[in-house]
Amino acid sequence: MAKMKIIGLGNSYAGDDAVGLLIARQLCGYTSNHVSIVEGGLAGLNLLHEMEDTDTLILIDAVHSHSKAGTVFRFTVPQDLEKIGKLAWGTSASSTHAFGLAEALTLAHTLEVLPAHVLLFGIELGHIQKGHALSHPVSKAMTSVVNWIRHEELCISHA
Amino acid sequence: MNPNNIRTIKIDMMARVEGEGALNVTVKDGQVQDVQLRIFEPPRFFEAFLQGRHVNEVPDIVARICGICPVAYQMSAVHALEPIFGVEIPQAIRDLRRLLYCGEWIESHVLHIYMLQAPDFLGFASGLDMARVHPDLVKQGLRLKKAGNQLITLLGGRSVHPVSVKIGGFSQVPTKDQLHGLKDELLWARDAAVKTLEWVSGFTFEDPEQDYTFLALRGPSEYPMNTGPLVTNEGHNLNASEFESHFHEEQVSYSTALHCTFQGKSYLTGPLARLVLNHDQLSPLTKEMFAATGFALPFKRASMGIVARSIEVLYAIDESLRLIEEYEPPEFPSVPVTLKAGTGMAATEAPRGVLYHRYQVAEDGTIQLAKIVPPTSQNQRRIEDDLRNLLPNLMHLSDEEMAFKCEEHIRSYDPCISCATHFLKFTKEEIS
Repeated sequence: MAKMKIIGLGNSYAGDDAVGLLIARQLCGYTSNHVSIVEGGLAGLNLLHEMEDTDTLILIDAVHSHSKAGTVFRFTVPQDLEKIGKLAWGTSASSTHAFGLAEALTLAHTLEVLPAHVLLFGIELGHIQKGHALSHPVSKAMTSVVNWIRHEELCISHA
Repeated sequence: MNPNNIRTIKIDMMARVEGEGALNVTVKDGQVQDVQLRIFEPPRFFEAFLQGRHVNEVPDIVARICGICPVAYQMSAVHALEPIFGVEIPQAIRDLRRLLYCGEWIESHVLHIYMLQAPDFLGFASGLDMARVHPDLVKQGLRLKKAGNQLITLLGGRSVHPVSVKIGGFSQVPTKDQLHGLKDELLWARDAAVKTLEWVSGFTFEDPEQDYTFLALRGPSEYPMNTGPLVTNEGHNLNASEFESHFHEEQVSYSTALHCTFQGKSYLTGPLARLVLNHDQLSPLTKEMFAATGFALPFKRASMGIVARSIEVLYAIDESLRLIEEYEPPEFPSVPVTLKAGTGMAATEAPRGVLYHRYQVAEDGTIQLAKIVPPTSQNQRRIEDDLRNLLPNLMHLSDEEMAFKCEEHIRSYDPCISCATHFLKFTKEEIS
């Protein structure tokens, strides 16, 4: 059976930047055996290790693009790499690492190690105040993304 | 050039340096007037966070200081705290801690060699650009890094910010089979590390030679990681308890990282220093491969850090294989700890050099005071001195080229600026 991995990225102590992690946690309750769920922090080079032996990869991260808080972006990798590179991702904007999400995905594409199907969900941040919960619009977006991913997962597992 | 013949070069964001820093250089009439390496990442409050927390929380809290070298922070913490409680750590647990540290050295060094420093030698703007031309080399680097990663995941419970280290030992230890399962990949990694050393030894090292004071631990019978006195190439031999009476940290107005000096002078800690002061403790294979490079010690150029790191990667893999081969699981993953009041300090060898911790603990295990001196803040003054020596050779370059050369030079030290920042205790005095 095709292997799927879902990776939620973010910082659980920085307001809406936690959204990727929280979605990953919610999905734990729904997914089946062939799906593994990973709570990632910052993306970095470890993302390339996580891609190994995976057919479908779904990434979820907060993004800052001056859109309305809670807006959900859905990208296909590598087709949308250029667009992805132009956005500030939760895992690259203030990252102390040399490689953020866009760089890690570009490197994986360059090295031809991307899984066959890669989807990236970006959720527009409202606030990133330390120690605060998700803002209302991002919290609402979280529910839609959980449902979308459950739907994607069902479609892919029955393909 | 402006009318006053003053040339100011500013690098506001340094690429490929962990954390963020900036450099200000002022030149007047062709002479370097001032060099200021600035840190502008928000200060990190870990020393203050630790106050009032229970001692058992320390390994988990300090692991959060750095995503690249969390093990180093955990190791300095437990080695500083355990003597307060009179804890004797069995050899099997000491060996596992050493193996965990090997994993971190491999991961951290390989990242710097392949993704951060090699692109400078080969004329690429980034690791990503290097990957376009040399995909197989970068793949080799990533696989090597992963070998270190696997050690940390197995021993530390997860690959980033490990969770299994505790005062007295580990929360759980691996079985023999689990460790032996890593052997094949480590054997591959050892060959790849030999190739890495051969590869980087062919680079051209052109920066000016420096007259370094080197500081490192001196391992009692092994290349140093967790134990040993602090020694210098000038004959000093100190215990960790003497660190603060010989090394002084001071605040400089332009940086949130403290500058550390030894007897009023800058000094260097990290792979170049470790190698000079401990090369006799390398494994036979590492010695042989080092000899084959034809380089002689001491390395006096910062750029040669890439060679020193490659030697240490090979050593750490060879040492991991030895530790795995000889591993007998300890009877218990940790030894019992009875809390007591007291003060303890320790220095261990983080990938970037000496990492000193001191803790003052109350009878109930509450942390009353924590002091952390990371390697990058110790090297910062040395980096500035080094740039003062380098800059006169760069005067003919455009500002842009000069900025790039300085950045390249700073990067060769592998500064981890994110962990070198401190919180300044502010006092205000009003006079009338």
